[in-house]
Amino acid sequence: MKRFAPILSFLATLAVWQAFVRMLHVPVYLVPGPVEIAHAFLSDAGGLLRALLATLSVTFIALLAACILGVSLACAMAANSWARALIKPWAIILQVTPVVAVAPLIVVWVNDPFAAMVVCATIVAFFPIFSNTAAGLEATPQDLLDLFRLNNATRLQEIRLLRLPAALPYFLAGLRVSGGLALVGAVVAEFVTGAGGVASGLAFRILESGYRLQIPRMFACLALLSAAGLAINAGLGALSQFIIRTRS
Amino acid sequence: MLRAKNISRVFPGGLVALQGIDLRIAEGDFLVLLGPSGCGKSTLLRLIAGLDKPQSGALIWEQKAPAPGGIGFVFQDPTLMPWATAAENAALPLRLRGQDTGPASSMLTRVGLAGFEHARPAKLSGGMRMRVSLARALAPRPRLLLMDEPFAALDEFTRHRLQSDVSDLARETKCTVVFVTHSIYEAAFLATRVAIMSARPGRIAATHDFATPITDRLDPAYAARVADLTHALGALHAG
Repeated sequence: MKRFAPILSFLATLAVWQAFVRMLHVPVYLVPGPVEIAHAFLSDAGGLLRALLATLSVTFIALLAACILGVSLACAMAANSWARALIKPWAIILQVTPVVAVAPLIVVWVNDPFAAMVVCATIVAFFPIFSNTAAGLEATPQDLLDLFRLNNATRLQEIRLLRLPAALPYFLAGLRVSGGLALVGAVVAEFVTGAGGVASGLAFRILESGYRLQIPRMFACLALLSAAGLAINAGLGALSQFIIRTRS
Repeated sequence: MLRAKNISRVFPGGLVALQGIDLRIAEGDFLVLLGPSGCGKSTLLRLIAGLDKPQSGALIWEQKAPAPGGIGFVFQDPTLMPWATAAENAALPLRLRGQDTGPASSMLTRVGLAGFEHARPAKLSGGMRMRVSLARALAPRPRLLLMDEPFAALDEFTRHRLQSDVSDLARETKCTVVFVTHSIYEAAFLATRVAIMSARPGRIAATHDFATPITDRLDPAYAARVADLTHALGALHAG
């Protein structure tokens, strides 16, 4: 029964919400009920799902870029103390600078709106993967490092055969956090770039619905974004568990 | 094989771990470093392995220093890579040097792990993990095997079996062994030579040479050695 508790709580919330807006006659342009939201979704399901796909394509490309960048830079830091001294401050600067403040600059520098959105989302998603992988590479057991030293292992062997596999659980934990952040980054980037047109994402659809006072449609976009976030989190969680289980 | 001359090791903060260590390790010795916890036994082992450097004194190899991999090391914990199988763990030193990993499989069989080659450490018992660690250290046929209290965390039955195995393997492979322990019983059973270390700062307080290794715990010579070592430790405390 406990397994179904989240679903029951979700359904109960929807029911209370619907009852609340019906009984109090809340105008649909302020708070629409779940039924109106579902109706708004069904009336433009194709368009909204295409927009979701556009947002997800930015999210996943950014997540992939964040993985490649984060793991490469963490490895460079583990391999060389000079690289560590050079990279670490920039990584922290990137983390503490709000992407909303940097995004207009990125839009100016990067001509293509899609590429600009990917860059913004990558910046947001990069840090958890980078910092977790770097922590994992540093947390390798000292005895195993000694064993590699005793056998005259090269730095590359040490990273490839020992530090990287040891850092995998840390990387996976970072990946799960970054998955959600990549979606947030993609939405923020869409807001800032204001990329419209046929291939526009859900964030643009939210802005558009707001301008047209199509509040139920706006809520439908929000619901799709939440569902996408949940799916990304659950998918990456399942992937992490599968990888950890198969190698232990 | 190796001579330690007036070795001292002081840790940052001024803690003197070892002071004036003079010790000779002869080819074929099964030397046991016996002493209380914290007396610097493991530090001395790390110095011999080249994993640490002394502040003063020198370690002099009487012939050529062993090539990389010429020193095997068995740590207090099995120290296995949890993501790798028993075979992959045992073959690690050979793989790192680009050598044929065949000897690792035969060594796994020799330590009683035939059929467990594809098992990951999480699926093995504590004793089996230590056997993998032993196979890994012995697979490259090292000239010198260093063992740092490897059986301290094991139950009595497993410990006895592994002690007998290590003793047999050392004889078979003609490997020189330096074994750290704080157990008089372990020292008496395994050693051809025992160096008793005093509490911090660690010094070699006494050495005992035994002509032949013990093969049977019921051998009266074993009991006599336990008595000898107990007496020596008692004298050390009294002094």
